[in-house]
Amino acid sequence: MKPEKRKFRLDMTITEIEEVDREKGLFRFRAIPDPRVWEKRTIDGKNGYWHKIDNIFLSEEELKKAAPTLKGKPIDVEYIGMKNKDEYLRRSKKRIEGKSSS
Amino acid sequence: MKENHPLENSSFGLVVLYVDIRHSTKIARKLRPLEQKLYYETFLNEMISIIEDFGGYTFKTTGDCVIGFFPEEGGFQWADNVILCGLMMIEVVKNNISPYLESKGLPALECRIGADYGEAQVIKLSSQKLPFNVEVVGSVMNIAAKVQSNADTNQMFIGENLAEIIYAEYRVDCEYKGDLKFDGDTYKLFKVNYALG
Repeated sequence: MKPEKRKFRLDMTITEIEEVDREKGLFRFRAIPDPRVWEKRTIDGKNGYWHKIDNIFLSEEELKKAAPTLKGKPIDVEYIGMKNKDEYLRRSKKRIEGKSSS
Repeated sequence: MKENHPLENSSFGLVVLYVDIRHSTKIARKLRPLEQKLYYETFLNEMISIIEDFGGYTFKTTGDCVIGFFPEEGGFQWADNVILCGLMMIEVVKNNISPYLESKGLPALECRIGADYGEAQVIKLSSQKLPFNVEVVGSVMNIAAKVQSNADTNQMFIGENLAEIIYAEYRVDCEYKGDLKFDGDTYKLFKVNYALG
């Protein structure tokens, strides 16, 4: 049986940012679905974004419905772990040689 | 895994990753017992360390294969880490493990990786003689194994469910490589071509 889909991911790219209140730490930004995978399209008279790989259409109406759900949510910066290949390879080499001499 | 793990008796989302040695049976036949020990030990231990470095857990090892899992968390970083983990495994095999083994007079080693995302359950086993007393079951386990069997030397393949939740930067470098068939349904396979910096 084909596995069920459990999650949906929508990466956004910030295109504009504007300071609202520096003291309170408030700012306003404009974000669009990541253009590397989403492109703007109009289908059946509806404006929205087309996923170039998954062939999914996300209308602007649906996006608007999602926006209020973000209210009050913190902005998380997720840690992108260990992307630096050379640094990681040095660490791994030490580990391999260390295990062999122990 | 500890006893009374919170995952017990519940369904949960996870990515399962398989990594094994290419042509290991053929290679191992030509090695002496101590050489075989070094060959497998170096590979298995380093793969386990990499899984842990990227936030995963080693579920088990079976011969020349390590099965890791990455439980679903908030956000998507945990899924992105699976991609980085798999790609780093290939780099470590090519740049560290193979040269190290060759320096000991052993043949170079190649691997292949498969991973997919889905739902699984933890079940308790009643045997007192097994070295572990829990098992993870779910179709994702079988699918991830099938995904891996399609990968070639030093390649990472992922299933459709995982492909759809990884970061756009990695996603655009995934190459469609055909389908798995499920009773008339098809399930897409992708090769990860993203280059680590």
